[in-house]
Amino acid sequence: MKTIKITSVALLFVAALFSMPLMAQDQSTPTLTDPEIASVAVTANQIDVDYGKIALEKSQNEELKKFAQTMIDDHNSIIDQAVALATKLGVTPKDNAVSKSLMDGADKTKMNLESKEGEDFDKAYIDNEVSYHTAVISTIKDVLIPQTQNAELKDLLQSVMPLLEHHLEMAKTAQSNL
Amino acid sequence: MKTGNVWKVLSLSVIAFLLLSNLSFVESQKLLASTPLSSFATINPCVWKNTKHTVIIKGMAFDPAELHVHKGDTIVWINKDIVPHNITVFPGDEWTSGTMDLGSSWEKSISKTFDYYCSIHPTMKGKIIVDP
Repeated sequence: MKTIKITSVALLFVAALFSMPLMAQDQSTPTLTDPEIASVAVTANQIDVDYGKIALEKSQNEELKKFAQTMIDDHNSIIDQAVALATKLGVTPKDNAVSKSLMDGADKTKMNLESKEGEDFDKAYIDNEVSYHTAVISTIKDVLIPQTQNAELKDLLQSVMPLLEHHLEMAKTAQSNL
Repeated sequence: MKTGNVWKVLSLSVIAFLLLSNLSFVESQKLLASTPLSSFATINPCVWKNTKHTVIIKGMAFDPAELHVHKGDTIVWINKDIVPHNITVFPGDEWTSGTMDLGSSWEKSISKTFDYYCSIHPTMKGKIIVDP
């Protein structure tokens, strides 16, 4: 019974993540401006930094902790560059429906991760890394890049894609090793 | 022309040729002595010089991923990517560049063929091949 409940929650969460880019493409979704896109980029990276910090605190698995540290370092590096570019362009990142949706989803995921221990936590963390990176890749590729007006911001988003694809492969490898 | 005159002309021509040849030889020696060694090396194919190669790290990849070099050549890796990387020999991790921050470079003199990867991002792989 407990397994069914957990699986249902996990499926709902994954479904919500996968539906995010589709929602953003919907005609009812407002078009994102460059300041809003900058906000989504910073928020999406900060969320994975936060997940990584929870993993460093809770996991006893050295491979998983190494992966989490890489996520923290890489996503912090992207945040630094996004903030530096926004400052250079005189753009102030602006909250919007997509960034708020990301934050709401992240709050629920953090609560779920905090409630787990040991191998259950490790599995929940890495499963989430796979689904989260999959969703973020879709969002950047299908929603953010096509709408970005500034060439430098678009270049930064495009240069992030190989990194996210690589993170996804690393997460899938770690997932299969658990 | 009389036979005697022919001999006179021939003799004078030989003397003139010898004088000019001698002058050219002396001048060429002076020229050679004043030529810098580095210039001599670049125009003399018999003097072998080590080459410096560059590998660019960008888009989560090494470019070129496979590089042919000669023993004694130097390779410079430049991190033009958006996150830190490293150069670590594979397998065994016997040596590593350490973390290469954004925009930084690291170089190594090459003595043998080896595979390498970025231990931070393990699917990033490269190979250096020392040709005979």
